[in-house]
Amino acid sequence: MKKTTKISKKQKKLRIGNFWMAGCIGCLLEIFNVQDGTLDFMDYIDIIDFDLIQEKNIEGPFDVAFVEGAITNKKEEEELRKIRKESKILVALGSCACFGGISGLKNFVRGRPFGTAKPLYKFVKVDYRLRGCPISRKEFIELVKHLKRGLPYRENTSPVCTECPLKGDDCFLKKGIPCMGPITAAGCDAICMKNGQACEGCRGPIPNANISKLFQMFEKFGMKPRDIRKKFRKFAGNAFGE
Amino acid sequence: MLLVSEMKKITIDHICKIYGHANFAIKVDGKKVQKAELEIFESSRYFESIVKGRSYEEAPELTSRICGICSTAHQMASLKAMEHALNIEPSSQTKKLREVLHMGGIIQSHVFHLYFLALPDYLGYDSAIQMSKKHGKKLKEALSLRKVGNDIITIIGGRPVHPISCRIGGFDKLPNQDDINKLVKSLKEKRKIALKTIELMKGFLKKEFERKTEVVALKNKDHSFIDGVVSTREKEIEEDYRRYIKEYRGEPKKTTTIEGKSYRVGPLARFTINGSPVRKYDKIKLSLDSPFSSNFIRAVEILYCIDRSIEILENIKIKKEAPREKKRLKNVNEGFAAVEAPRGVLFHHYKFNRHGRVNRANIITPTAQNLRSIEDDVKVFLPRILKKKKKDVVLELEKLIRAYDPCTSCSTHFLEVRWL
Repeated sequence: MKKTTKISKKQKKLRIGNFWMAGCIGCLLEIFNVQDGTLDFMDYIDIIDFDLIQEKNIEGPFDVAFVEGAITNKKEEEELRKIRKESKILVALGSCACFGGISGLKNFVRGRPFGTAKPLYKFVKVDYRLRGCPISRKEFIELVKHLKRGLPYRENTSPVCTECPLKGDDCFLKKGIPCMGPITAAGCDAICMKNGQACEGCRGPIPNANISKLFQMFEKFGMKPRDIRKKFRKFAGNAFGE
Repeated sequence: MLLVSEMKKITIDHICKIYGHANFAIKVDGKKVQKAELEIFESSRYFESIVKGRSYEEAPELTSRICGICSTAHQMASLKAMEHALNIEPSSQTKKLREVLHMGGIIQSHVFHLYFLALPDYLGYDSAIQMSKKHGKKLKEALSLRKVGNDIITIIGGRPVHPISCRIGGFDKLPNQDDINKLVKSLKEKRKIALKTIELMKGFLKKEFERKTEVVALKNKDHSFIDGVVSTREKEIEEDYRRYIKEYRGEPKKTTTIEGKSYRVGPLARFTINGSPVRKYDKIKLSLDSPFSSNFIRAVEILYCIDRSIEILENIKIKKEAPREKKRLKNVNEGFAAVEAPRGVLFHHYKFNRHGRVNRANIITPTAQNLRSIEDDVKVFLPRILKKKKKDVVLELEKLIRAYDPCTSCSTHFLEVRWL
């Protein structure tokens, strides 16, 4: 396979649609923020549906559909199924779309008086996930470049610790501060640790994460089990276990 | 042309967010508008319940997710409310940095609204993407102006959406002086674009439609977006806000009134109460009762934010300091705060117990407060334009609704209009 980063002019641009379910629109805004200088994006893509910034949207078909947010009602579910039908590739954008995220926290209110918010994969096939709250722009660009070249994109499976600058005694866990770095998927450049905060697990678990070990560790730090459970499901629904 | 005599129902399908997507439904009987209502069909995300039972320290992080566009405003309001509850007075350095951080949020939100949501309407385009052929330079400049807002948030807060480094009592990580100096330089460069924006928006100032309402904004001498006393035209209401502002908890939206009437928050309200934030524009002729003036005021506010940020950052020497903390909690801790978010005054109000668990939370967003005013405006505005072509009626209505910048995104969510 060719290893050129430049796109040949013959290749068509990706026709993309950006959609928004129950979320805060932060992830779509991050897509918009990509224009802050990283690459001349319009060389890669042709935005044909983005109702945040345009009115006359084309309904498809799409090469790639990016869907932000969780599904909270029938109308959203129908829209999602329609988008799926019309798209070659469907990308779940951000933790709400991947896990339920913060939108999905209402699922844990006793008796579910406010209904539910479910991740996209409960309804349709999701081809790729961009995790995080909000998504990482770097990963988004990577994904688009891969798709453009027709290459499969692999999710990051190493833990956040591999990107974390806090080594040795600076490690939050060494200091007794609950940090979810060891079980959370990397790709965020450990941005929270770089800004003085412990990992909150917004990107969901790595495969085969040793969740129970971290749970025990947090207990030793003096956290109550129910608070630990609350922490684990803050951004990732039940992805870290019930 | 519409036949004015028959009974009509108009639905503008698919606007977006208060917390999501919405329609606008209008019922016209003869010349009278019987019903004008924003119908929201997305379920609410219930932030007030989500924070309940969690630690008060998590509230800023969680409530930031109410909105990706004004995440800084929600963080500031919630940090301030918690500090109010704990009786913590942050250092002057913290206050200054927060003020600048918050203004970064205002800049990026206002620029986004003016150039990417409002301007296409005024120039007769469907979207900024179509504008790019003829007005490419303008848009490039707009992007670079918006970037300076994002840069502020990135340098002080860690990242442009849902900043990380703020915490109750101070900052987890302070920006370094080099970055601050660079920021000042780029703010100075971008000032010209802000001036151009004001001239551009001045051109669209027309006396199209007026409706006098009550207004609510933070009152202060230096036009700060983050400090001041919550005021109406005549009174200072501050923490008494509950006595004046009545909340209606509909499903899924929340609306508010003062003395049974709708009121406005946002640029118009700020201008009405505090005057122009940049003295030069004090004497400019504009109607403070017309929502269409908002765009011009937003442009002036961008300039103010740039000037004020430069002023603060030029005189700051970052010194290391730990966040101020409170050791013991009282049995009942209650805190309230209001800040000026891009779209208007935003209230956060919390109660938590001695274990730090939040047991009550009340959040009133600017869009929730503006909803009734939007509806009332439409009722007055629509009969005047009913003689126009269908297409133009819808465009005019959308312009009016967009002038409030209802939680940004919504602005261009009007996809199709059903005329029944």
